[in-house]
Amino acid sequence: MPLIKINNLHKKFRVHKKEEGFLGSLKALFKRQYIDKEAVVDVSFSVGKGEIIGLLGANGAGKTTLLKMLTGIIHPTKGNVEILGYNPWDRKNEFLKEISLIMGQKAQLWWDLPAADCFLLLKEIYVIPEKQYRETIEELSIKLNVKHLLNIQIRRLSLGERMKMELIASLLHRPKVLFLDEPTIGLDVKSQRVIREFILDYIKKYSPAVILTSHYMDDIQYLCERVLIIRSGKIVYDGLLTDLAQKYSPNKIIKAHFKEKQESLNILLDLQKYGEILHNEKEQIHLMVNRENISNTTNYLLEHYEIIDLSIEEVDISITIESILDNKKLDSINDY
Amino acid sequence: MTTKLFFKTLNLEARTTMSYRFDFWISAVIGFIAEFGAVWFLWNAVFKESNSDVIGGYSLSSMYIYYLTVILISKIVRGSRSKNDIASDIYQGNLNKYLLFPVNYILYKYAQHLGVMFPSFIQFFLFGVVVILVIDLPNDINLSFTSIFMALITIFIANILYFLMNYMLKLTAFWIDNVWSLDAFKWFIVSLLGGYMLPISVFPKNLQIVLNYLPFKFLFDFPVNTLFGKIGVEIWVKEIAISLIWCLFFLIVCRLVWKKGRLQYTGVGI
Repeated sequence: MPLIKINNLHKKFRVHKKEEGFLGSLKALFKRQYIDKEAVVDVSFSVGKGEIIGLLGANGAGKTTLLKMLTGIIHPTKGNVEILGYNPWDRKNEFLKEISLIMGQKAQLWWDLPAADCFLLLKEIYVIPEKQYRETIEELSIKLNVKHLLNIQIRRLSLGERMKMELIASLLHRPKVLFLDEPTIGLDVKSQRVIREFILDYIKKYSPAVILTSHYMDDIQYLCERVLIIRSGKIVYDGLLTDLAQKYSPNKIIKAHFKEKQESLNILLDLQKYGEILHNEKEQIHLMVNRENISNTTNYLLEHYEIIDLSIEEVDISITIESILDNKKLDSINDY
Repeated sequence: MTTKLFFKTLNLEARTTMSYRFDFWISAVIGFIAEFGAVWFLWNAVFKESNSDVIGGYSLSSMYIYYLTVILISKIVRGSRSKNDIASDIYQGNLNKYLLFPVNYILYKYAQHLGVMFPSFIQFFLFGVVVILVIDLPNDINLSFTSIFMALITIFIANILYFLMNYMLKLTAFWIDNVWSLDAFKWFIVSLLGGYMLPISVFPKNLQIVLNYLPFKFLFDFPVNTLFGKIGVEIWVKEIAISLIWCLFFLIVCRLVWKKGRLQYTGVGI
């Protein structure tokens, strides 16, 4: 049984449009113009126990709006959300005690309190048993290497340190459903890695249902098998990350290592018949070729040139995703 | 919301407020002197010009005591302007956090409000002790243990009433981006009709009758008069009942506004 179940979810915002300048402000005093903005359009999917889903989309695609509806912060215009059998909008305590939302861009802890005090407050808020509380703090603070920082005011911590505290804070009550909204934003490479590993660890141990949004492909590739791609509020892809390349990238890349440097224009023109030359340096040529022409091209290369090494690779996943996000023609596809 | 969490929040808020020691003492003393000074000159002039010894049942010296008390009591009733403002929670999106916590928002805010108020309570007592020791109380003020006890209960209810009125107003931030102008307007109404600017007995008789039916007098005028022993026990009990009904009324309105308002909320800031 899925822990998260979403059916035909819509969210329409009414935004008041303000003309620029003083005159515009004056006009707005008497007559306001509103525009309707469809932030989320007919979204349906479900997430099971122990499953972690990557939610991908450009800025303003509706990712955060979706998360806000799933956590009961905002009211859906239409459609159903059911998480652990509850409707988030009702804000039942039993429901709230089982979920967590981690926002990389917004501090949730109390600014002037040390982390230790914040955690104590959360202990009372979530009514966490003393033993579980002690164990969790001990375990998580050692894992994230922040034990020595527990007594420092949150506002005096660095971004990365604060993010680690936020993570601990949101996992204290061992949520069964976890929403991670860009948890590694603005962190250095090492901290990103530490936090990724930490999240994976938690998932292995407690198998919650997780929805993760991130702009870092590393996060997604490391943590998620399944991804949802959202564009202008619509889900345009729901499926495995590994299938994404095969289905939506028509091209592969042939990397050929020639015996000698290929400089003559003829050869380059010759190769261009088969595909686009991405890279041409020393003896290396990278050629982007349509999947259907892969064997033709490799045969041709091997027959006509002296080649030391040749490999065929998928196009970088982030390029594929980028092209999906840009491609306005691609219709809603559900493959899962 | 558990009792433990309620007191923990209260305690934390009180400690944070008191940790700003400079603010705690200096602003309290300077604010008090400024406010009281203005009143001193004003009423001195008024009594001189009118050539009467008693205005609205107050002699000049008991008028001073009235203001002294009402300024102190108002600090407890209002709590200080805090960083925990409900309107800015809504406006800046801090509300998101509280919506995710398994706690009752209004109770949580009230715990914070009480916590911020607590230091004012200490000030009230310290100033009060000084006043009783230093100043000869005029005859028309009958301070007694009963009146002090009754006043404490009255002040406590006034605090709840003020909190609820404020909360209701601040919830309009769901619709209006800037509620601070409304806030200033509210303080004007409340202080004028509640007996903060002037004792209600100074107003014309007709207006006094109208004010009797409004909730504002329970904020300042009623607590002060209770403390001064001007209210008999029987009337006091009746008035307390009425003020509690007003609290209930505002609580119900707050719940309705909260329900409607949440539909408007867009969870800004993330």
